[in-house]
Amino acid sequence: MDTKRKRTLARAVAIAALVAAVPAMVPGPSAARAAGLLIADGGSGGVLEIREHTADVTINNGIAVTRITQIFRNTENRQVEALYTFPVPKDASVANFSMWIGGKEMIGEVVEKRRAREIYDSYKKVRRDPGLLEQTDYKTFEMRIFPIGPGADQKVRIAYYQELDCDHDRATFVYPLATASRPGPGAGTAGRFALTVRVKSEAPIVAVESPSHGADLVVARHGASCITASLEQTGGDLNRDVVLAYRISRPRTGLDLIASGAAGEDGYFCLTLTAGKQLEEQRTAMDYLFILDISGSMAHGGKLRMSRETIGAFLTALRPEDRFEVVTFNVAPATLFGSLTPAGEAGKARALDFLESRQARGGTRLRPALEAAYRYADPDRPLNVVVLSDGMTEQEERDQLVRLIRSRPAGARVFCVGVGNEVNRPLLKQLAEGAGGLAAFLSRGDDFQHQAAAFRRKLTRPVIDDLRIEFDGDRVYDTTPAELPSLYHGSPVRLYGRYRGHGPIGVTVRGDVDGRTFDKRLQVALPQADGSNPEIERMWAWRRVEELLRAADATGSRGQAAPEVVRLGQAYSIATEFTSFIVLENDAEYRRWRIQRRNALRLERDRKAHRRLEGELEAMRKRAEARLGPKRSAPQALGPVLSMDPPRPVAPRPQQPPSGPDTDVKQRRRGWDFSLPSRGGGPIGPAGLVVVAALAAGHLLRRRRRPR
Amino acid sequence: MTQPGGEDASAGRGWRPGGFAAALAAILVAAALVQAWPGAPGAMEFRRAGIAAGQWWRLLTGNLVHFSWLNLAANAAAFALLCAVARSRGLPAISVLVGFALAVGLGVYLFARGIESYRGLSGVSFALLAMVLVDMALARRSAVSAVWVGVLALLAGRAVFEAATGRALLPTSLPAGPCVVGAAHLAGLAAGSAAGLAQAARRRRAPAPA
Repeated sequence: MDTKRKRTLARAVAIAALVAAVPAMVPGPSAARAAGLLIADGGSGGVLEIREHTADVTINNGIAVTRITQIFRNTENRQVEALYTFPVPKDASVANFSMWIGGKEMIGEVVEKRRAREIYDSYKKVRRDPGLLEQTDYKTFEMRIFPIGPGADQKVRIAYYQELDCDHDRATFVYPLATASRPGPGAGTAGRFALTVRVKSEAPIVAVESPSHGADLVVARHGASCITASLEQTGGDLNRDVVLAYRISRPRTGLDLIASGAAGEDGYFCLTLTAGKQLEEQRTAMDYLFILDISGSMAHGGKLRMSRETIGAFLTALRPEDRFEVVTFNVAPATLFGSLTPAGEAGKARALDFLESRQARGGTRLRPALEAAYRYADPDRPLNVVVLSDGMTEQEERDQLVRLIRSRPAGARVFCVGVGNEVNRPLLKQLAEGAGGLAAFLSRGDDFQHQAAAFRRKLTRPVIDDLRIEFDGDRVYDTTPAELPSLYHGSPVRLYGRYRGHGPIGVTVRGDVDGRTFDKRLQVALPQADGSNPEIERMWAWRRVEELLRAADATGSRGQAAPEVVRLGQAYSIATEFTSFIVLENDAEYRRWRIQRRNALRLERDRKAHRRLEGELEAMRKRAEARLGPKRSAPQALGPVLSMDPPRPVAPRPQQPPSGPDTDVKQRRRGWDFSLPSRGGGPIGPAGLVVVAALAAGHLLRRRRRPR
Repeated sequence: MTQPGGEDASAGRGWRPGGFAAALAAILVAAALVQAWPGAPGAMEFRRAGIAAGQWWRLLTGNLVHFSWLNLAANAAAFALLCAVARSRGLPAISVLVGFALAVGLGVYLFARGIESYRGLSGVSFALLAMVLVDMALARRSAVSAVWVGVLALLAGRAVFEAATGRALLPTSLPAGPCVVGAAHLAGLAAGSAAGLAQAARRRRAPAPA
């Protein structure tokens, strides 16, 4: 790096403040930006070139940690201010932001939002054009860096955590690249784009696929519960989401527990309850009411087209005994049939024609459509209202919607499907969960048929209603969520919490199955220490923050939740509405502002766990490779001459777990099966009938032939 | 009186042909009425909690109710045919039904503890089938007997598989949702086999024809 550039960087202290600026549900007008796009700003426009874009993803039992590193180059012959935009997918929490200053990675730290602003402003007063990173809406972050000299590179790194959507045992990871409908400037990379996804699961992984990139995403399996998938291209299109789906198989209903923590400290756990394969769906005749948003916002990003396809897939999955109706809405609702119609071929075809004729325009008023939907409720049949919308309604209507949802008729449930990446996910989730239903979010590149079929399976009925998981004694505390959702087929329920002490603990799973209460007692083991799942600590904190904010919303003010949210945000280094990431030029600057390097320490631990996982996967990969080709006899059988060579193992030994607190992890049991009370029948099938009929016929013939 | 082939006409004594047909028809009509009557299947099905609370009749009536009309039709057809076969072999078909139903109910109660509710006549049909197969196997001491024993063993193996996995090995008439209760079939097979053996013992004790 030349002296001039060093001076420039030093002068323009690179501060990155990630500010949870707009907690609102309404994103502003979306720009045509691909993910991680760095554009030259400052009035004269221009685009910086993406030299390298690397995404490294680790998925540990459904919790994904995505680390993205990007290098941009200023190809213009002038100094520019860079505006870096990055969309954070669905329900993810940003857990790190780093940028390279003077060739060194400077890791951001989380501080209280107002203080971060003060620090930022103080630099801005004395030095021109500092760097700034801020959250522009609930899922998009922006960072400004100045200056980037002519021909200079800038490297940034971001990490976020998310729970994957799991739909009928199919976990889907989406790397969001398509943030706008039209390919904007910088939608491709001039250099290398590499995505590596490592998946580890307690339940066996039985299938892997990429609906978006097919065989381009190369998948290597390292045993029953670990896979690695990778995609690499040069000069490629970055305007298309990368979707990786894998299916796990848990034959029996049960609990899986993973934990994190150091010896001598209270630990963290994530308990996952999954409905087993032995429970099949209930094929009860049902009523379906599809509500399609055709407001102007649905015209972007191909949302309306995807919604039509999704409803089409739903309609295909309906059975003749089902009935349905289609309602479209923008400022006012419009119905197709005016009543519930049997799901025959003619009705389905008419519905598809109706949907095809709809154009996206006008404002969004969901409430009248939902009110109309409720009027279709038949006391003798369950009514599933399926809303396909981006949820971009007015704030005033949102409050009315939440009230309306709570007053739904008996037997009615509301399911929300958010289509595309620019979706008001919090609202749709709140509506669905408040109405006993589920929210699903479909990305471009998803397999609609599969998603619709899986969603329909969940529509039919929950496996366990009124679910509660209770622990004996007081060793477990601060569990979240406080109220568990219903357990559906293929959609596990996760409970995070903290615990003191270690060893076995009694757990009681209570709920309502098929209208009858049940409880099941199990003994699970809490480990003394576990260093392999640090991500669940942040996920626990993130879920606590979400819960605090939801509770605050119910009272009408988020202010009262602020102190605890700030405490959690700072302690666990997560960006929230009340906390921000700030990156200072060097350690001295952090000391000057009395900012503790919590994130730097946490990141060091996370990276250590990440390296350990990589090591485990690498060892598995090598073992798998060693099994390829013709089998050889053992080295000791090769004779004394060969034994003079340095020892060369046929297959590398698995990496030993580090000594100390992590060592009890490997042998520990993590899954506990149990049976749910279920319905059973005594059936005679076609084969049985044929056998019995043949027996009867044979007997009759024999008796007729017998001489009397 | 033992007939050629080992059939004992006296076993069906007490049920005249008309009486037998009427009793069989009455059972089938009752099953159809129960199916058609709103709320009746729920009130009569095997329900573990109800039985534990003293509603012991559910052990019996659970055999008479079904999850769907298709389920009822398939089960009723097999039941009627097996009753006819048993009757024609001189085996008790109607008078043992209560015992079979009770055995099936108890089998589900004791050995299928994960099953909260149960419906279906197939357990009784399996009992009738087992009784017939045992009777056929004991009728002739030949290779044919081994075939019937083999069929019985196959049925038992299938029921064990279904009891262990909760999955049907072959297509069934059940709607999606309720699982196959292999324990009911196993209980039926056991009860039917016992009835068949008891019947054979009874024949042996009977005086030889003059």
